[in-house]
Order: sequence, then structure tokens, then C-alpha cells
Amino acid sequence: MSGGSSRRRVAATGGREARKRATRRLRFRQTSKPNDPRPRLLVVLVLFLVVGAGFVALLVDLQATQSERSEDLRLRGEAQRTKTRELAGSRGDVFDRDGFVLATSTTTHQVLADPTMVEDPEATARLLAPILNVDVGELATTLRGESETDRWALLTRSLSASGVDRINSLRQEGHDDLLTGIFLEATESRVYPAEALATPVVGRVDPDDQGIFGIEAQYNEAMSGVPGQMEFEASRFGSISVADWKIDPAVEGFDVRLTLNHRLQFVAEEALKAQCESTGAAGATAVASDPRTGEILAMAGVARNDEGICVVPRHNAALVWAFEPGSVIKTITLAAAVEELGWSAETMVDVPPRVVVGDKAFVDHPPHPTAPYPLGQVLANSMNVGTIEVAKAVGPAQVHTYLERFGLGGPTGIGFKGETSGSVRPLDDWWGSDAGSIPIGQGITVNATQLAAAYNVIASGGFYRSPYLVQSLEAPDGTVHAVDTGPGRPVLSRRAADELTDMLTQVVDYGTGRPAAIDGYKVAGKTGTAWKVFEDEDGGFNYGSNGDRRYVSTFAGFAPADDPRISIVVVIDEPTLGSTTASAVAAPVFSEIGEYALRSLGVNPATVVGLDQHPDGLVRAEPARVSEAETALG
Amino acid sequence: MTAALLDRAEPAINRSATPAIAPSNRPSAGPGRQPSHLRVLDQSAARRRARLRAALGFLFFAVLAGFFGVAFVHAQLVAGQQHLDDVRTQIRDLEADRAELIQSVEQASAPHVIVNRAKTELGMVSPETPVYLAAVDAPEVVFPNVVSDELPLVDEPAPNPSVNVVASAEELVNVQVSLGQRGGISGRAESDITGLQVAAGQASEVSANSASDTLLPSISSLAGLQVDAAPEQVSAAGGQG
Repeated sequence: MSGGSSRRRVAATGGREARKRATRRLRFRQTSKPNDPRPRLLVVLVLFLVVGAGFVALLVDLQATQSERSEDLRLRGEAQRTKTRELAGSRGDVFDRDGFVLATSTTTHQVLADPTMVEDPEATARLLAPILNVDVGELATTLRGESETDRWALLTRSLSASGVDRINSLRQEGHDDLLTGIFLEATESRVYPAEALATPVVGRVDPDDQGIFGIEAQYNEAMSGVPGQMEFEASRFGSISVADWKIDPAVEGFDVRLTLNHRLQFVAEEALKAQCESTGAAGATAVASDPRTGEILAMAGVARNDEGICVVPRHNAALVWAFEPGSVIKTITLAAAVEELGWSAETMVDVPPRVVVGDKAFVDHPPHPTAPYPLGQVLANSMNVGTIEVAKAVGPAQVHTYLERFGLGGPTGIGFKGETSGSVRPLDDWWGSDAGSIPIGQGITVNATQLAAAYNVIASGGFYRSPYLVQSLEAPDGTVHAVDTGPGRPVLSRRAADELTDMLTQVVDYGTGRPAAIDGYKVAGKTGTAWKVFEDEDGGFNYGSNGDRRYVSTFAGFAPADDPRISIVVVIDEPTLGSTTASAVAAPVFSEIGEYALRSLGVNPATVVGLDQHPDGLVRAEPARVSEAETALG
Repeated sequence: MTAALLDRAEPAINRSATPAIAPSNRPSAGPGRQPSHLRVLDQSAARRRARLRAALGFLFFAVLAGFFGVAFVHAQLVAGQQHLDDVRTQIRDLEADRAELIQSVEQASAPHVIVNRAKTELGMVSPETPVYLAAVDAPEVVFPNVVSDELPLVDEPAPNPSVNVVASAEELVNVQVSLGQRGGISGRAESDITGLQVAAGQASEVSANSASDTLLPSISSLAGLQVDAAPEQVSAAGGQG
């Protein structure tokens, strides 16, 4: 029995345990049923709390960011996505009076290289040298760089558009590997279409587009444009289409319109070059102007370079070179007598063979006895003694006054950088032979433009008008700012001016200025052959001695004499070959320039030449010299 | 064995469990008692859910369409921007070409280039001495502001009418002179610039069929026209050489 009950007890105990386990399982199953949302809610709640806590943290951080680092972050953000591109403010152009472009700016390309990226410098050099127009060897050297770490080399500062096209074509033709490390950068460069024409006047700019001399320097501020800037948002793939663009437009510089006539300028330069070569001169300069206004129509200069060739230099000799003018000043001395003493061309002047002033004796060539000469002949024959006698008559004070009234010894008003005012010493500083030498043009210095302005006084009927080179400044919006030269000032009476014109006409008609004559026109002018001070072997400055002198030969005049339209001053510096007189070397250049100027200005000739040679009634046509080229053309 | 235990235990568990559905909603399983796991479907709720699903579906597709729309517009913008960039590039290229052409013209207009071309390509030479010829019908020519009162007028018209002064008062002259076997020299501003071969004082256009036509007998008159003739012209005119 006990065994059986024991088994029953055991069985009963085992059954309770089993039921408990089953119940636990069932409860578990019950709680895990899909319809019970509590576990999921719990999970969501936890996640929500976590995310919420994260958001709170972010909000706190955002608040801190916005309040404390907002500006810094904004700037960093803008810097990352904002790109800027400079908009070039073009430099103004330089025109002549007719609109011919003497200087302009154009977009070209710099070609740069990173030598560390160029794998085969020799092959790349062979490829690029013809395009860049440089030596292959030199280019290869440049491409190798100065050192292994050299990462920048300028191959050319200005490459034309066709050159850019050729390089781009090379890239498309599969030369990319050889062009690796070669970069093109658009840049603005200054161009002078007429090349050396009027270089001393127009000037040049440095690589940074800043004028270094000439008009380019004088008007640098006005001509320089102000660069603009374009800001846009861009990603690594390029500009963002819908983003904002901010453009600060560039401001272009003013254009400068000169008074020069580029054709007359060319003719003057060519004439000076030819004369410089044929006379063996060190240089030459010429100024042509309109006596009615003071406008300078041509301002030319040439100088012999180191290779012995006369070329257009950079310095503007017509304004920056002061020289002793010699006998061309006699006109001003006589002007004082005509104006102050009422003398005329027929007034007789007793002229001795020599006159002593201070420590020097002055004579005439050729020698002559004491005799009365008409004032006109004194000028026509350029008589030193006669002019000094006239100066004595008017007195040194008047001579000095008239030199200044004619604009000598002072600035021309052009304002050209480096311009010289020359030197006309105050009367108190005259000493020794000055009262004799200054009236004949020694002992003072002038520049060619001053001399032109002085002769314009006579040509214009007695008014001094400041010479000027710039006609107007033209703003980018088309506004024209004319340069005001001010009113002229009276220097001579009309009678005196006409009297002097007659005397100057005699100089060309039968005096020393005959080579200055222009067929068909009446020309008035004066020669001047001055001794030039130079440094001798001992380091001293003097005029040298006979047989060892240097000269400055000048011709100043205007035409037509009765209604002057052009005045021209020609100065030949140190002619050495053949005759060195102004009559021989300067006057012919005046004639050449003047003949062209009158024709181009449309001035009709007053007389017809060569008519007597054609009784059959036909006008003679001079044969032109047949050149080889013309002969070949048949 | 275990299954039997579970079957017996289930009623107890169900009794202790919270009913999932309210008794009133339970479908009746028989005449006296409804089964706890069944319920009657509410048709209106089903309809509401269907409408909700439809609305959600519509909203989904609307949003999707909106996204596509935005993408399309953006693509259009990008394409437009690309086109704009292309046009800008084209403008830049054309402006560069224009600048280069202008520069070429300016360089070709430079006096030294003209003179060089005149001498080397056209065989023109500088005249030794200019000679002034009177134009036929000169009285008809008007030279405003430049003709001096002292200039003589033409007394008689020259017999050859083939020289025609057709305009005046232009600074840049246009002179065309046909010369014998050379077939003609034509000079415009270049001639005026260089003074080569053909030059004119004030008359603007002169045309002649031959050298002799150009050389006029009316030497007492002067209209400011000067012609420097080629050798052929000289021989035709009987002038000196």
C-alpha cells in the first residue's frame, strides 16, 4: 500500500510541476501575442526617448551654434560654395585726332607651366615652340624649371587667339600627355597697332598695365579701369543654376584722344629717320602744330641707337630735351624791336664787321664792312652782329621780356612727364657776353615744343596759345571732356606779327632758309645753327674749338605765310656728315613735312610751278623714280 | 498528453485574461454564448479604411509626381543653364574674334604697313616733285573754308571733259587714275597718306580714262589738284622726263 501511495504522491507532485511549467509557457505565449501592443510601445517609447534626447541635444547644439558660431560658420559655408571671378576693367584707348587707334587693350592669354608636371620637357618644347614663337632649347630649359620644386614658369605673356586655338587643337589631337602642366590664363594686354609710331608721345605700360612714360603715364589714373568682380555659387561640378549671382561691374578707363594726326606723325618720323641717317646725326626731333589753335599735329623724334641706326626712341625729345636754339631766337629779338621801337623790315641797321660784348667778339659769316642793312636782310642772312646791334637798341631787359612772352623758359602747359622748361636766366643773372649771345640764341635752352609755340605767336597774328597734345578725355559712357587750354594771350600787335612774317618769308625766299621752300606755297621760317656744349676729354663742358665743334641745327617756320595752317620746328642733333648748317640739314626736312602737311590739310597752293616750261599748254608732270619693284611689275 | 492538459487549462486562462473585444461586439457562437475570438465586421469602418487607403495612395502618387515635377524643372533649369553657359562662351569667343579682327584692321591701317605694301606689292614710288593740275569745270568745284581768294579761277574750260570733279571738301581723297599699260593705279586714303604716285589737294574724286585725259591744258587755273604721274603718264602727256 505504502508503495502505491508513494507512487501516487510522486505522480501527483510531478503533475503539479508540469502544470506550473505549462501555465508559465501559456502566460508567455499570451503576453507575446501580436495583438498585444505593449512591447512594441515600450520599444517605440525607448526609441522615441533616445531620438528625442538626440533631438534635444541637437537643438541645444544648434542653439549654441547659432548663437555663438553662426557668423563663423556662415562665412565658412559661403567660402566653400562661393566662387569669384574678376571682371577686367579695360584700360582706355589712345586715339589720334581722326580716331586711329594708337594704343588699345585686348584679351590675350598667358601661357604658364608647372615644370613638375611636365614629363618630357624636350618633346613639349618641340610641340609648343612654333606656336609660342620661341627657341626650342630655351623653352625646354624653361620647362625643366629652375629647381625640382619650381612649380611656375611663364612661357609667354601674350598669346594670340589663333595660338590658343592651336594649343587647344593639339589637346584634341591626342597630345594631352605632352601638354600636361601647360596652362592658359586669359589676361588683358596692351596693344599698339601702329607699333613704334609716336611711341615717345603715346608711351608704354609695364606688365601690370601701369603707364611708365608718355601719355600712358601722364593719364594713367584716368585711363586705368577699375576691375569688377562676379560672385556665384558653385559646386565641384560647376555653377549652381538656381543660386544667386552677384556682379560688381568693372569700370572702364577713359579714352584719350590726342591732337596728333597719325599720318603726319608717320611722315615726320620717316623724314627724320632719313635725315638722321644721311647726316650722321645723333638724333632729331620735329614738332608740327596748328598755329591757330596750338594743337600739336605731329611730335616726332628719332635717336641713333647702340647699333648706329636711327630709330624712334622712347624719350620724347620734343619735350624732354633742352638745347641751345641758336639763330632761330633772332626772330624774337627782332620782334622786340618791331613791337617796341616800331621798326619794320625796311628799317636800316648799321652793322659793323664785329661787335664785342663782355669778353667775346661776335662776327658774321661771310665777313663784311660796316654798312647799313635792312632789318629784313639782317634776319634773312642771319647776321649775328646785326642782331646784337638790334638787341642793343631795344636793351637786354626787353630781349629777356620777349623771350619770356614767347613762352621760353617756362612750362608749355602740356604737363608731359619729364618735360623740361629749358632755361632763360633772369636778367639779373646775365653776365659777361650774355647780352650778345642770348639775343642770337646761345646761352639759353629751349625744347622744340616751346620753339614751335613761340613761332606760333607770329603765325597766329601775335597771340600765344599754349600747345597741347590731348584733345579730350572720353568717358566709357561717351561723355567727352574736352581739354581746356585757356585763352591765348597777346604778345605782339598784328602789325608786328605781319612785319615779322614778311621778314621770315624773305629768309626762305632768298636767305638762309631757301631749302625750306615748298613748291606752290609761301613759307616763312628761320634757320638756326647753334654750337652745342659737350663734355671734352678732360671732363669739362664747352663748345669745343673750330674744327671740333658740335652743332644743333634747327629750322622753325610756318606755311602758308599769308594764312598759316601749319607750323613746324625741325631740330637735328649733332649732324656730322657733309654740311652741318640748319639750311642744309633741317630746312629740307621742314619742306618735306610741310609739303605733306599742307596737302593732307587740304590747303591749296598759291602758285603753280614750272608753267614756263610748257608753252604747249600742258602742265608738266614730274616723272616718278621707277623702282625695281615697279619695273618688275611692268 | 500535454495537448490534453492545455485544452483543459485554456478555459481557466481565458477567464483570467482581459477580453480583447467588448462582449457586445462579439458574434454569437450559439444561442447562449458568443465565441471570444470572433467579431462582426463594421462595413462603414471598412469603407472608411478604403477611402483612407485611396487618399493615401493618391497622396503618395501626388508626392511622387511632385518629385518628378521638381526633378523635371530642375533638369530644365540645368539644361537652360548649360545653354546659357554655351551662349556665354560663344559670345566670349565671338568677342575675342571681333577684337582680333579689329586689331588686324588697325594694324593693317598703320601707315608703315600701307607704305610698305604700296612699295613692295604695288610698286608705288614717291614723287620727286608734285605738279599742280587744274581740273576741268573747276569753277563748279566748291572748296569751303579752304580756297584762298587769291586763287585764280579757270578762265576757260579745258577741252577734254573726261575729268570729272564730282565731290569736294573731303580731307581724304579718292583718286583713281587709269594709266596706260599699267591698267591703272588706284589710291584712296593710302595715296594721301604716303604721297605716292597719286595725290590730290582738295578735290575728292577724280577719274580719268587715260594719262592725257588727266593732264589738262588749262594752266592758268588752279583747283588744287595735283597728280604725280608714272613714267607712262609722262610720255603720254609729252612732259619732260
